[in-house]
Parts: sequence; structure tokens; C-alpha cells
Amino acid sequence: MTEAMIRKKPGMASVKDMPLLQDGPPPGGFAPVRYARRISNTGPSAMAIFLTFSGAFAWGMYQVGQGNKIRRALKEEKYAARRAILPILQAEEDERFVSEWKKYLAYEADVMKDVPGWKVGENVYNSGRWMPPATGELRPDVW
Amino acid sequence: MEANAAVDGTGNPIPTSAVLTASAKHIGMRCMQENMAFLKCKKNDPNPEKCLDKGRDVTRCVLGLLKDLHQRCPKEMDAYVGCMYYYTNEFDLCRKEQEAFEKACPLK
Repeated sequence: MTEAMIRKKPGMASVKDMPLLQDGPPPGGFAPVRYARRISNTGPSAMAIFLTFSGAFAWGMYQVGQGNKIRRALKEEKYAARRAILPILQAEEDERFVSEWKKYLAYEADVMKDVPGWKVGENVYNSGRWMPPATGELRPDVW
Repeated sequence: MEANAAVDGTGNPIPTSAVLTASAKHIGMRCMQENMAFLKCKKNDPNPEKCLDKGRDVTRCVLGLLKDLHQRCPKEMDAYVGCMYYYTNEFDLCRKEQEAFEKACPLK
């Protein structure tokens, strides 16, 4: 049925005179609602916040420095150990190199024995300093 | 023959990296003269043939020191070398074994 059949009032001339059916406030109105700001002024002051922050930062940087000291000591220990064992490692490598070099010189003398005017002994550079042999291979027996 | 052994079958020390780093402080203290002489010679002339004798001094000093250390405190040295081998020469991870080793064989 249409709304007019449901909501009609007796003596209605047209649909425009129907009683209203509306959502509205309860009788007496709604309770009042606060919408004003209430930001309190209590709590730490600006200087207090700044000092706390600076204190925490300074303490943190101090801890960073202490940690760096410890780490530097550890690194120094490692480097000191490497400095201590460097000579024996170099000495062992020197022995191995000298024996290999002698073998190589013997091989060179054997290969070039028929070439006139060939000096076997290390005709590498003219500066007088010793340079390691530049064959492009460090340890041919290993590689 | 395990890689973390400090000496081979006949008691001769094997200069692996673990053994050398474990005894590095002792080497630095006891073989300092030979090390310094060798390094000075090398600085003068990097030719290996020229510094062979000083190199032999260094090798003799260090191997003798390793053998001496192993004879004086074998267990602590083996433990320390094993720890060094396990942690690839990290000093900070082997503090316990290091203290035991330095208490048994003092640095003097």
C-alpha cells in the first residue's frame, strides 16, 4: 500500500498534508557537546627537554668513544700479531724463491748455451734495484 | 695429521697460521732482535738472496721458540692453537684459552 494509505489522517485533502515522519532529536534536545581545546600547560619545560636530550646525546657519544677505544685495541692486537710473524713468513718464502730461482737460472743457461754473448745472470732492468720476476705467474707450481 | 695440530709426529713444530698467531706475542717478544735485523736487511735491499742468512736466523729462532713453548705447556698450547684454528685467528673469541696459555707459559 502506498504511504498515503498508511499515514493518512482523516480529512486529508492531498498527500502534501500527510503528517510528518522524520528523524529528529529527542524531546528536550541532545546533551551539550564540548568542542573547545583543552591543551594543558603542565609537564617539562623547554629547557628541561633540551637538557635531557643533550645529556642523552652526550652520554651516547661518550659510549661510542669508549667502544672505539676497545675496537682499536683489538685491531692493534691483531696488527701486532701480524707484524710479529711477518719475518718468518717472508724468510720461508725467500728460501723457496731462491731455490726456484736457481733452478730457473740453470734452465736458462741450458736453453741459451749456444747463443753467443748471452749473460745468464738476470738481465732484467738497469736501475740496479732488485725487482721480482715479472712472469705474470706468482707460483707456477701451484697454479 | 690434523690441521689444528701444533707439532707433527716427531715433535717438530708446524708453523701454520693458527700456531703462529697463537704464539705471536711470544715471538714478538723473544725473537725481536732477529726480526728487526731481518727487516732492516730487507729494507736495505729487497733481494731475497741477500738476506738469506738473517732469514735463517729468524726461522731458527721462531721454530726453536715454538718447540720450547710446546714442551713447556703442551696442553694449553694445543687448546689455544685448536681454538685459533676453529675461529680463524680471532683473538677476541679465544680469550679463555689465551689466558690459560699465558698463565702456563708466561710472556716474561
